[in-house]
Parts: sequence; C-alpha cells; structure tokens
Amino acid sequence: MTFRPKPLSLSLFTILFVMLFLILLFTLGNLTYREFEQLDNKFRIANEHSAAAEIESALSEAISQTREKTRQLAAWEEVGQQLNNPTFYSYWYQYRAKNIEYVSVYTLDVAIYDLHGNMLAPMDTSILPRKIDTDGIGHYIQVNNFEPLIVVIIPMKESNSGKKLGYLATLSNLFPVLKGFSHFNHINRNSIRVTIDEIDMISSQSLLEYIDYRLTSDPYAQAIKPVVKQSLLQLAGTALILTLLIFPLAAWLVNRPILQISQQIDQLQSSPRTAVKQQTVKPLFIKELDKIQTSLYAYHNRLNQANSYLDQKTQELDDIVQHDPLTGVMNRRAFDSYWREVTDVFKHSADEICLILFDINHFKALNDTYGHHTGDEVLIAVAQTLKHILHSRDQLFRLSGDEFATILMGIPSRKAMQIAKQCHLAVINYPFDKLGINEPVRISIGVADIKAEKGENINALHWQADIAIHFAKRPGYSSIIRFKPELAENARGLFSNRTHTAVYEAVTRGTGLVMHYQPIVDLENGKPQYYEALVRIVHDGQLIMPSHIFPLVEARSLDLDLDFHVIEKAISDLREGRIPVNTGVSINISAPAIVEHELLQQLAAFKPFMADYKLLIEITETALITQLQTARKNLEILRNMGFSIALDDFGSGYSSLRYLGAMPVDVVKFDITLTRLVDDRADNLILNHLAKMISESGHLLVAEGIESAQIAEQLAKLGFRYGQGYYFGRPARAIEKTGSSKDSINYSA
Amino acid sequence: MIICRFQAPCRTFQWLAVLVFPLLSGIAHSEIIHLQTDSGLTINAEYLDTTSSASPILILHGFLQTRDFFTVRRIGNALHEAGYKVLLPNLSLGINNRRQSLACEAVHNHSMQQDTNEIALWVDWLYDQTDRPVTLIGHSAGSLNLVSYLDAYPDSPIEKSLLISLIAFLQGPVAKENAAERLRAEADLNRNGVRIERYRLAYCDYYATTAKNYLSYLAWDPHRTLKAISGMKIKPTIIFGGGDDRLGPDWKPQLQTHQADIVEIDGANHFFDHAYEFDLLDGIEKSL
Repeated sequence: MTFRPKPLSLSLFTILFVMLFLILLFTLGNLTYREFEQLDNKFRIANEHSAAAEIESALSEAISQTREKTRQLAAWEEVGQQLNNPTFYSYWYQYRAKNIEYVSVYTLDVAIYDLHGNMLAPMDTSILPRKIDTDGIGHYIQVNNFEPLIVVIIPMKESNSGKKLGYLATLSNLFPVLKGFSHFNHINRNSIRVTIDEIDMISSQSLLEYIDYRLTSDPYAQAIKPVVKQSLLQLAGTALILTLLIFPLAAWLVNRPILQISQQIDQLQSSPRTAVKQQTVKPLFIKELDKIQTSLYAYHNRLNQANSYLDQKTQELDDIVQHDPLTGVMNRRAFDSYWREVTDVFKHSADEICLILFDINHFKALNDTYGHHTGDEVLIAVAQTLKHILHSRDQLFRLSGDEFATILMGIPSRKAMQIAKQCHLAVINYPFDKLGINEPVRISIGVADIKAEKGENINALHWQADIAIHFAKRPGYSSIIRFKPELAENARGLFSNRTHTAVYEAVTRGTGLVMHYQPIVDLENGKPQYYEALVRIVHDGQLIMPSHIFPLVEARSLDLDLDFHVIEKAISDLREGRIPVNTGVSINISAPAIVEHELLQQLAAFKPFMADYKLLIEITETALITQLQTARKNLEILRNMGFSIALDDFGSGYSSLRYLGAMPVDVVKFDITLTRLVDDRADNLILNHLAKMISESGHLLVAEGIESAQIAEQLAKLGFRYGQGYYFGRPARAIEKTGSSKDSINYSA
Repeated sequence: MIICRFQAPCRTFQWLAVLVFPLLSGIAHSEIIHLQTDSGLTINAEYLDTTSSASPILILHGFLQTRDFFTVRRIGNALHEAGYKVLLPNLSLGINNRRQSLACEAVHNHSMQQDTNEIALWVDWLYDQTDRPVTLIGHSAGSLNLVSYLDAYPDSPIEKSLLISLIAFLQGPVAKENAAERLRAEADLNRNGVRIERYRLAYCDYYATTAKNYLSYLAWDPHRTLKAISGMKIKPTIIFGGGDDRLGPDWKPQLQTHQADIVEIDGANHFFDHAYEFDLLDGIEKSL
C-alpha cells in the first residue's frame, strides 16, 4: 500500500511560506551584515598593515629628510669655514650653527667634529656628545622623555679635493619631521607617540616597536557602515512590513478564490448531478483562477451531460440487456434479477407468489416448417398476446427460445389459474393464419405457487413450474397444469439426478442401454410378424422406462445419439440371435435423425440381416418431421435398401394425413388414441373409413394398444393387418420361442 | 665693438650681435680656476674663455656676494658672449673655496688686504693666461676692492677699469657703519684684537668680525677712495645708476672733481636690474 501523506491546507502553506520567507529574509540580512562585518574586519586589518607600512615609511622618510637636512647643512660653507679655522667655533655655534636657512626647525643641536671625532670646541650647552665614534658614521635614534631624537653624523669633505675634514652631527626631533612631512592616510598623526621613556641608542626598525598610534578611521568604511546597517534595518523593516501587508493581501487574493473553488468542488461532489449556471457564479479577480473556476463548471456541466448521456445509454443498454430484442419483453437476465428481488421480498412478505411458465407447442417444428421469420413472428405474437393478458402489472419474461414466464405476486392461485387460462385462450384465438400458418398454435402452461406463511421454499417454485409445464406438454394432459406434489412423484425419474445421469450415460455412450422387443402380430393368425425394438436402460438392476428417457433426450436434443445406439443394440441382438429368424424388427427413428445422412450409413449395417429378417423403420409421428424433402429422400433410400417405412403413432398428432401423403410410408401404425375409438360406434365409423382409406391407398395398417381379443377382432375387421399391444405381448428383453403370441382360438375370440 | 649709448634701436642690434657673436668668434667655454693663497685658502674663479685677442676682463662681485650675483653674472655672460675673455672670481672672505654668499652674521675672518691680494692673484693669473693687460670691472663694494687693488698694485698690467656703482664705506644713506662704530672697533682692537665682535657695516647690522678686519674695510672711506682714484695712472670709468639710493649726494660730485669718467644711467638703481641691465651693458660696451 502506497503511503499517501495527508495534504495540508492552503492557509497553512501560506503561513509556512510567509514564515519561511521571513526566516530567509532575516537570515539573508544577517548573513549580509556578517559579510559586511567580515569585510570591515578585512579593511581594518588591511588598514593596520597599511598603517604599519605607513609609519615605517614615514619614519624612513623622516630619517631621510633629517639626513638630507644634515647633508644640506654640511654643504653650508660656514661649516667648512669652522673646520678650516675653528677659532671662532664657539661664536659660530652660538650665533650661526642653528641658522634656520640650513638647519631644520626640528634640529635641536649641531656639532662639528674634527677628524678624530672631537668636537671642535666643547660646548656646555650642547646635547650632542663631545666625541663621536668615527666608525659609527650614519645615524642613530635615542628616546628622551618619550621623545624620539635622531642623531645624524656625516663626514665633511673638501669640495674640490674630496679630502675629509671632519664630521658634522645634528640632533633632531624626529616626530615633528615624521608628522610634518609625511602624509598619513591610515594613521591619526596626532596619536603617534613612543611608548618608552628613554633609550640611548636604537635603530629605526627597533623604534617601530615602540611607536604607538591610532588608526585613522576609513571615512568610506565609517560612512558606509552605518549606512549599510541602516539600509539593512530599513530593508528588513520594509520587507517585514511588506510581507505582513502584501502576503496576507496576496494570500487573500489567491487563497480566497482557491478556497471558494475548493468549497464549490465540495458542493459539486455533494450534488454532482446539479447543473451549474455559470452566469450565477461570482467571478474571481485572478484571471487564471477565474479560468479554473469557469473551466471547472464547464467541465462539471459537460460531465453532467456526459453522465446523463451515459445514464441514457446505460438505460438503453439495460433495456437491451434486460429486454428481448425480438419480442420486446424482458429476457432471462431480467428474470433472474427480478427473481432475486422476488426472493428478497418473499422473505419479508406473506403474499402468495405464483410462477407461470409458457411454452409454445412444437415451436421448433413450426420454425423449421415455416422458416425462422415466421417462427419469430409467432414468438412476437405469442409474447404480445400474453403481455396483453398480463397487462402491464406483471412482467413477461422470455426465458429461452419459445419459453416465457411471469411472476405474479399477491395473487391467489385460483386467480393465477384464471390468468393462465386467459393466456391460453388468447393464444388459441390469435389468428396465426395471418402469418401463413395453417396449423393451430398452442401453448403449454405450467403454474406453480407458493405461500411464505407455509414455510415453503421459494427456490422450489421454478422446479415446480418446470414439472408442471412438462406434464402440460405431455400428451394426455391438460395444456394448463398447476403443480401438485404427485406430479413430482411421476416426474421423479425426469428430475432425479441419479436417473438423469444414467440416462445421459446410456444415450451418449450406450452404457446400460438394452432393447426390449414387443411383438407385432398378424391379426389373422396371431403369429408375430416382427418385433418393435423399444429402448430401456438398466441401471443398478432397475429399468428406466422411456417416459424417463425421452423427455431428457428431447430436452438435450440427444435424438440422434439415442438412435445410433439403438441401431447398434438391435444389430447386436440380431447377431446374437435374440430375434427369431424369418420375423423382423422395427426400429424407432426420431424425426431429427431421419434427415441425417449418417443415419443411412448406420442403418446400412442391417443389410446382412435383410435376407432373414423383415426390417422396418418407424418414424415417430408425434414429432413433426422437418425438412420433408430430405426426409423423403432418405426414406426412399432406406426403402431401396430393403427397409419398410412405418409411420408411428398415427392419429396422435395433427398432420398425419399430410405426412402420409408426402412420405414413402409402407406401414401406418394407428396410435392408441385412435385404436380406442373402436369402442365408440360413431368414432368406429370414422376409424373404419379412415382405415379403409389408408388401406386402400396401399398402406399396411397396424393397430397399437390392443389389450383384448375383442379389440383385436374388431380391428381386424376394420382392415388392420397387424396388431400390437399387451394382449399380444409386453415388451421384453427375451422373445418367447413360440409360434404365436396368442393361440388362434383366443385370438379369434 | 659696438657701443650704442642710450639709443633704444641700437639695443636690438646689440642683442642680435650678442647672440650671433659666439658663432663667429669660435668655440667659447668656461672652467673653474682654483688658486692657492699664501694663507692656504683655496680661491676659485670662473673663467669664460674665448679666442678673442681683446683685453681680458676680470669682473668682481659686490659686498659678501659671489660671481653669481645677477648684476655681475649678467655682465660677465654678456661680455663673454660678446667675445671677451672673462674671469669671474669669488673673493674667499676667509672661507676655503667659497661658492656661497656670506651672511652678515657669519664669522668674517677676512680683511680688505686679503681681498686685494686675491685680486692681484687673479689679475696675474689672467694676464699670464692671456698675455694681455686686464680690464677690471667691479660692482659696488667690488669696485671699491678694485680701487684698493689699483692703489696697492699701481704697476699691475691693467688695460682699464670700470667701476660700477662704486661705493666707499662710511658713505651713503644705507651704510650702517659710522664714526662711533669705528671708535668702538678701534677700542676693541686696542683691547683684544682677535675677538669676534658684532659691528655694523654696509647694510649689515650684525657683522661678526675682529676689530682689525673691520677697520680694514672702514679704512676705505670716501676720502681714501677718492685719493686712490686720483692716484691712478689710468682713470677709471665709473658707471652709476641715476636712481642709486645708496650713494650719498656728495659722492658723484666728489668723484667728478677727481677727474673720474662717470657714466650715469638714468633711472637705474644700484643693481641695474630690470631693463636697466641693457643700458648698463651699453655703458660697459661703450667704455670698453
């Protein structure tokens, strides 16, 4: 999980930014002041160095000037005069020696010495030594009462010959020369002083160590320092004031619009579907933020439009998803969703809930016969008819191809049955002939209801309705069946998982599939002519009967698989000799299989037995044959191969005569429902004429469901050649080795 | 030699001649000449030599001055440029190899006799150098020194003498010395002749010297000076400035009575400075 820091508010950021700015500002100001202090310190150090150099230079200059002044004095001819004739030296010393024309005002004393270093005449007032060391010619410094004095001694020479005549010495006050003739930039000249009281002789370099002075404050630095300080303080003050004024103002200018936008975003989030009229939005002062706000509302409105469009499309999609595009009624998805809602409602309701399933009879045959377009029109017509009956209060769902459903809530079962009957009647009355359909279109209706107060499980409701409609579709049952527990007993095989698995395994793999054979006898002599192969499944020592097998086969469209295995088993039984020679065997082939070319190849396996056996193919009439042309062609091929074609269950459907006329049929097996007509006189007449007509058309008649000799006799009189029924023998795995199923006496009786 | 006396147009021509002459008279040069006196002092003079065969000229500076005093320096340069051999000596005034002027207050260890002897040395040297009689030109007290020399050495090889602004001690309104000073000096001399005293002499209020030396100068008062001039074999030419305030009112008449050739330049002062310099040169040229 990625850590996402909690965002801070703009106000806090603003305050932090202001504080940071102020800290930076004052830090910068402090650094600048420190830099200035360092610079000032550098200047001071440089000033000290310059002052040291300056004092050294000034001292050197003062010494140089003093020496120069002494040299000028030495050039004064009166000095030379004294060396040539020192007779009047005392007078000269007293009145002339300090002639300011040649002697500096700072010269305290002058003395002339002979070649031996002796003063020309001892002077009591002289402060220069009476004798000098002629080897130490030059200058030296002495300090007397904190006053540095310089003694300069230079040799005196004859001007034209260069002959040394003696020495001239001067004693001068050094500092007046130093202060008076040097220009000081870095030293306060009045502050120059010597820190030592008295020294007899010292070099100029050593004297520097005893010279103290104050630095001349750099006027520029002195001038700029307070200016810089003041500027920094003014800058800091101004920045502080500006910060305190401008930042709140700027923050207000920026913060307020952003907060306004933020609040507006919150409002939009709280009511996202509310459209915003931009004319009513207060404009912002800042162009960019106003643009953001305008864009925000524009995007919001566009988003709203997009959402509306998406909602519309979603609704349309939901309609598409939940509606059947063909019929316009709700589809299976909508049913499942609605069913969940119903289930939830059922938990908290005492109302009765009724589930009604509708199924169009033989719709597949209609579809195949009249084409998909007509089939679709039938579906639309049925759906609209049902919907009209159900009104708009109850949803009609199309669960699969021709299966519809509705859920009625709070309606008693009796009322639900009335609605079912109204639906059934409305379909019957619908003019399907407008669609070009000649046959009547019927629907089967299964009704299941449940009451919460009885503690019943609503999940069983669908199963119950399935069972109910299953029986409604069964021959001999009403087209409208309301579920009853006994129906569940009868349908246990169909809906038992164990049976279901066994049937599926047998049909798809042949496992447990066995053929039982029921004799078809000659009604004249009672001898079995051939045996109809009837499918059974042996599972765990129990027999699973066709009533449990065919619903599953039809439901799963396993007709062809079952037919193939039946053919294999029949051939196997023929090989094993289970069927007596010179009789025959008839095999039921489903309508879907009869059009398959593969079936022809399978049936070809019977060819080896055609010499000894009569082989019949029975086409189940109850399941309408589609693709009549293909079926007819295949049946022709089978006839050519040696098979006889029998039309099974004739009379139970509604287009038997049509098929009889269209198909290459050799044998017509009357359904038990027709056979039983023999008991009714009026019907007997019809049966008589029908049998006569078919017989005269060249077909061999076989009657099913013969359970007594009387019926067998009557049917024989009606022209039926063969008969089949419990009277002649029940289907069994093993065929009895007798000449006839019934003796002729009994039979004749 | 061109002498154009008091005529202004001639002055321009004279200057032109002064500038052109050195080119025509060959290479001229100067040198410092040193001589040794009997007292051991070295004396010096500047010798401005030329190839001229005219009488060499010795020009002597005034009281306590040197040859670089502007009046004598200009005369010397002008004459040298005019083609004369010129010798400009510095009187030693008791100072070895003196080149500087001497202050009144300095120790003056010299006398008129010493000055006269030094002039003699230079006249002899110049005569020996040129083998021509020497023309003497003096200014102020220098003129008096030349009078003293001519008086002391009457047989010396002298061509002529020009005494410019000639003065005598104890004469004129500027002279500080007086009879009382003489008496004081004479008293000092009698008491202790070698002691330095401060006297008044010429323009000096404090002239430090011995009484003897002081009196050697005071001896040359107008009387003695006129007497010396009167005794000269070759009468000197005396040039005065009409505006010379250092001369007493009787001085020029007295000189005229002693048959001196006197040239007076109107308006010029004692030193002939400013524009009178050229008038002086005209007068000198004329006299030469």
